[in-house]
Amino acid sequence: MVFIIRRLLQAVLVALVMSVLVFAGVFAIGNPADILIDPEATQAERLRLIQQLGLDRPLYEQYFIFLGNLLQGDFGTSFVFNRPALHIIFERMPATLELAFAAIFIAVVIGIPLGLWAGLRPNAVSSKAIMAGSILGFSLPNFWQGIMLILLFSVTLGWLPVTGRGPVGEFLGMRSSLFTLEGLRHIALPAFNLAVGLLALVIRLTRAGTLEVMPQDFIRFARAKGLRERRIIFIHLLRNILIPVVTVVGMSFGGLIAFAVVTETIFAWPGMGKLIIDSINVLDRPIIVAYLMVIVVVFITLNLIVDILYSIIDPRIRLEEAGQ
Amino acid sequence: MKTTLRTLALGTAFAALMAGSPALAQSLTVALQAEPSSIDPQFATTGQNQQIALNMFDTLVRFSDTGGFAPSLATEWSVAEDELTWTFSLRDDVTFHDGSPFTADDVIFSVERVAAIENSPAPFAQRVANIASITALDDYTIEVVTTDPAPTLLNDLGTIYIVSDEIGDGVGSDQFGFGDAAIGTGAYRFVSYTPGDRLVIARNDAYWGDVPDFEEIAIRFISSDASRVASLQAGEVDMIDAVPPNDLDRLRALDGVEVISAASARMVYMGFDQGGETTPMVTGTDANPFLDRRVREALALAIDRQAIVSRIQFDSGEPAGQFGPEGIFGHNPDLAPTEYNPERARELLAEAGYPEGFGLTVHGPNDRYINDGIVTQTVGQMWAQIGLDVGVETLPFNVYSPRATAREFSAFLFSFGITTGETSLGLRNVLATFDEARGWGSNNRFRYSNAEFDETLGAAFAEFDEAERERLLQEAARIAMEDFAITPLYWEGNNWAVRAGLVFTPSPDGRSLMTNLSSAD
Repeated sequence: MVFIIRRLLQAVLVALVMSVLVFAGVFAIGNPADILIDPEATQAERLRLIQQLGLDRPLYEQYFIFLGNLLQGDFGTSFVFNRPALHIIFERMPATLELAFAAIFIAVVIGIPLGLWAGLRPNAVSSKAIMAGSILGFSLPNFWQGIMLILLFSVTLGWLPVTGRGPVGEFLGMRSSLFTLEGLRHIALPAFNLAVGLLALVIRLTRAGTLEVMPQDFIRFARAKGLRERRIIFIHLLRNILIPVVTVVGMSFGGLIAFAVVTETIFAWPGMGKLIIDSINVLDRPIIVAYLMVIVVVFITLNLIVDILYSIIDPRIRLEEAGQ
Repeated sequence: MKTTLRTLALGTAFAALMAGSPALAQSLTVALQAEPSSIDPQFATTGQNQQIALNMFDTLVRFSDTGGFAPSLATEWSVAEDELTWTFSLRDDVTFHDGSPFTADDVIFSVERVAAIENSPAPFAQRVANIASITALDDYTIEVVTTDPAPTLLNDLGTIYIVSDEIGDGVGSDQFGFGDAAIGTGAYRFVSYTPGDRLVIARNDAYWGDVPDFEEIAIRFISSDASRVASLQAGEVDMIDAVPPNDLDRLRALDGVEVISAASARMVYMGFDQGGETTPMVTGTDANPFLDRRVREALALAIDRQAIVSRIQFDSGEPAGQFGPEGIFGHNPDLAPTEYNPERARELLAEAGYPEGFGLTVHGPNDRYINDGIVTQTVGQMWAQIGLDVGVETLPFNVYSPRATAREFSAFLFSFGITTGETSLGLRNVLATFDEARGWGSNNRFRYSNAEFDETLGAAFAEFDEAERERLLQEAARIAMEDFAITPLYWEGNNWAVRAGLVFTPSPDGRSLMTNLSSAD
């Protein structure tokens, strides 16, 4: 319990530092007034707006006003949309979350079997092809992959929609485009695009784990016991190599949410990533600050969950130690 | 029986496919580059907001295709002898999307609501700031009294979007996109909005003007150029706007796709710092060379505008020699783009005392206007050819723009888009002497100042006679252009692509309006 409270306090501190950095950073880029305000506006109108948005005050004053509002649960109001920043972010969050979930699903469901295959038959041509493919997955730029996927599957073959999110369905009270067929068709390409990097990583981790575990004694004993190969692979081998895979996948989740920016822009996916890029372009500071604070909270929560999971999976690890 | 029906349905579907005409489908999907910040038509004057609002809402007057104003919700208007009292007659056959009749009360409500909207980055408030009172003489006549004589009242009041007074006071902008406040009189009515994704609008069958051809249009927002073009190619959308110039030739060659191009009223120009005896980005001389008109002329002569338009913009756009293109009120037919003449440019530089040129860093944005970074580099190279020692620096607009306003640059690329149908605001904000108290020159980042220009423009702002006002605006343009206050480069091109069977007719404002889209048959 103490551990969890300490973690939460840590989260607050990190979020605070983050907000200072973002404030200073956006301030260093320049005055949002220049980009936001209509070029056709008169001087009087400009000055009135700068005052209204509080941009005429010194930076520290703007920051303390922000902190004061934050204590009352107010993350500020977007300069562009004139709506509560947090509200706008939460509006777009489900789309990003479902994209990240779909990407993880693809990475695991495709990555582990391919990795196993490559690990069990390290010298086969097919295995070499898989490993070469994983190098491509790592090294080709994400946006280029996205555009190529669109050109191949949407423009040339016409199998999948080019962009956008499909209709939203409801299942067990959750609303997501994953619950409609049209929604699945829409998410396939962007999710795959987002998954490619992680997929390559999962393949390599699984293969490395397999190569390491296969020669070990307990596998030989299992063989000597006369267990069938399938049982050896899916019970004895998989259990042992899954631990690092689960860790990496868990930790990547935050990254997928935060770095969905490129994929969301290419596929016109109405998520948070597209929002943050648009906001940075017009220096919509309230959204940038609120977004980054949300991401900080997501990362810290994920770390916390992973730590707790560790202690459940392996009782030798105690939370107090993990927290140090 | 069942089989027959199915065969019939299949046959119909097949016929529709064969005909290939989207009009039969009656519903379209369109992809636009820019998304509005609100569905509330009165929230912001930005281009992306207005091009959405105009589909669903009407204004009292509209820009006519030939310059000046044409009737819309107002049929007639006049100003009394005192030059303060205006009378507008309104159409009496208009209903809102919810069926309620349009009357003078709605106009008054709309005008009063504009002033009450807070925190908008581009408010309409300045357009009604001059109105002292607005009253209904009867259901279809309103009287407007201004505090000062306001010859541009039509520009200001006439372009306020009329919303229904049924929505009540204190309705926030949110209620338009996420509630039921989006009630207008326009050709299309609001159906649904998903931020970051799409806006769906449907035909207003009771529209007082020409009823649109299409039952429903889903407007999707796809900011990535490549994805927008791919969506059209894959047949997922029926029309796209902002076609990247690099894709124009490819799309023109495609069967089943029509490309429509038109020069816009957004003029891209180079500004020269004329604010002081020295200027930050010039080396090799202690003086500010741009104070000398001959230097400004030399730099204008050194630019091959036609080459920029045809090679960098792939023939989209048009070389510019002033603010307003033809069709914009205040366009001066005598002002041609400066002819490319590098020899004369070198002579002028020598005459001005710079036979060896001087060092100059040219600045421009790289993510704001079409191919802006490349244009900046090209201009830099053209200047290097007349003997300047040129460096080029391009920056993201959110870094660039504040630095330009802080006057850290000497020669830099900027633009001004006319959205009010006339040149007056551009001339006032960009070329008039920077004067905070008077509210002039707010975008004059290079501090050009010419008393004769200010005086002529001031006279135009006070003139009620349309012909004389146009003459004064043309005169002001002439004074500034002959003084080489700025170097206009080109009017940016607008490009749309539609599927065969659709017709898109660009209007002078260059907006991607659904009301400009119709079926070929």
